[in-house]
Amino acid sequence: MNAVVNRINTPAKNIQRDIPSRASQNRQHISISPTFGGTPIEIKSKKLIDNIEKMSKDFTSAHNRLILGVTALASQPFFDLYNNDVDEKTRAVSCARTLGKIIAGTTVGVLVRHFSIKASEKLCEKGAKEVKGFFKNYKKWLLPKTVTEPTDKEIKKYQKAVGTFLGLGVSLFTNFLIDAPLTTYLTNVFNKGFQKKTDLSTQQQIEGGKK
Amino acid sequence: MTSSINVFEKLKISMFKTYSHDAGKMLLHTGTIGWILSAAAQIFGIVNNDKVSKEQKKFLIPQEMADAAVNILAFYMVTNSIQNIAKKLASSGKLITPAIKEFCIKNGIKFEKIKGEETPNIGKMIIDEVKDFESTLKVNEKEILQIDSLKTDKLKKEINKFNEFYDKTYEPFEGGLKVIGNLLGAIISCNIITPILRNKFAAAKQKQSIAQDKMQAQNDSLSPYTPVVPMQNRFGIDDYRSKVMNVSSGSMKV
Repeated sequence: MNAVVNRINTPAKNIQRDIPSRASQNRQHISISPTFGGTPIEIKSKKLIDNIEKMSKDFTSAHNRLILGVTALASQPFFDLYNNDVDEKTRAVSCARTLGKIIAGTTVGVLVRHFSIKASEKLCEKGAKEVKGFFKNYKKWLLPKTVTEPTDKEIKKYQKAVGTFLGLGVSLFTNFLIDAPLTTYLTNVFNKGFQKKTDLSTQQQIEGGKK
Repeated sequence: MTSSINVFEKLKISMFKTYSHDAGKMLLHTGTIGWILSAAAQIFGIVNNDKVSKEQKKFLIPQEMADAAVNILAFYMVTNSIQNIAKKLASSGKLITPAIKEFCIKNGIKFEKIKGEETPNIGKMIIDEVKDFESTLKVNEKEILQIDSLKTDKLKKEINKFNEFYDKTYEPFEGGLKVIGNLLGAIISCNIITPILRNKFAAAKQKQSIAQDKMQAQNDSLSPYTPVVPMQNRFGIDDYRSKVMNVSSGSMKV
């Protein structure tokens, strides 16, 4: 910042400047002193670079919720089943509860976020034409009016952010209306399955003991 | 009415400024808010549940609050840290693409750490360079007598080149790494750290509840003068199990 101020105060000196001084200084560093600290890892695979860039451009909170749900399904039930701090019955019940919660939460969470983002795209269209009637300009409702010339990329990310916040608001209701009853239903289904399995193994143990 | 419109517009502008470039930040903020809302809903559910007695509420509400604090803190701290590490990998040039490397070499932007010097920050250096070009351009344009159209054109071209590189090559790479860091942090905190901590916490609470029940039962049997507490007013392990199952959606609290 100081550099900028100094340059403005001494204009004559800077008019002569072809290349910025900071850049030329660094160029000297690179050519004069090649002893660098860490060796950079150069990613050469174009496919990998494209995928990394895609994460920045196209990744939404719905994708995020889906991946979190799938990884939760692959990890959390095992923490319950192998929890040595509690008895076997509690392990089975908590595992059933976890499965129910993850499946219900992920399904509802992904759908709510996906449709909220779609809705925000409809309410935040750059360059949308005016619509007559009561809902006139609804396509621009969520567009910040005072931001001058936002790029398509900026608008896309903004739409996703607005959609995710909308989704959070909607989730407050769906949590009670859909998540909770669906979780209870699924928990009971899984619990029955676990109980049958436990009863079967107990019976097998008894029979094995008799023999 | 006007002020409420202004507030709405200000909110939109602030959201645009904060999230129109940074998907990682948006995921971190909305994820944290999601956890806070979820915890608030849990506590609200218990507070407003008529089937839960006052005595039981005294036990369940602090438990829910502790659970919420663990969830929120674990999510924010772990996710934010891993996201920042991922960002640093890109900005310090530790992870680099051929296009970024080529641009840095051509334009004298430091991308490797030199002993005794500060860690490079590619993104900041590009922005600083653009600022430098712009201030020089402003000065050139003010000095009407000394104006050199060739130099001015050259500066404008440089500004466009740096801006284009930042928007199309550097920012998507850094942003992508940040999102990957965010995802990794969220998986570790939500699916590994939180369930383990919650399991430990719930098990400790369960043991405490069982011990309290036993103590109460012993006291009842030893002292004939102790007034008998009706069974429905006690908070035993079966109550704990059933209430937690019905009231709370915490997965590990049984």
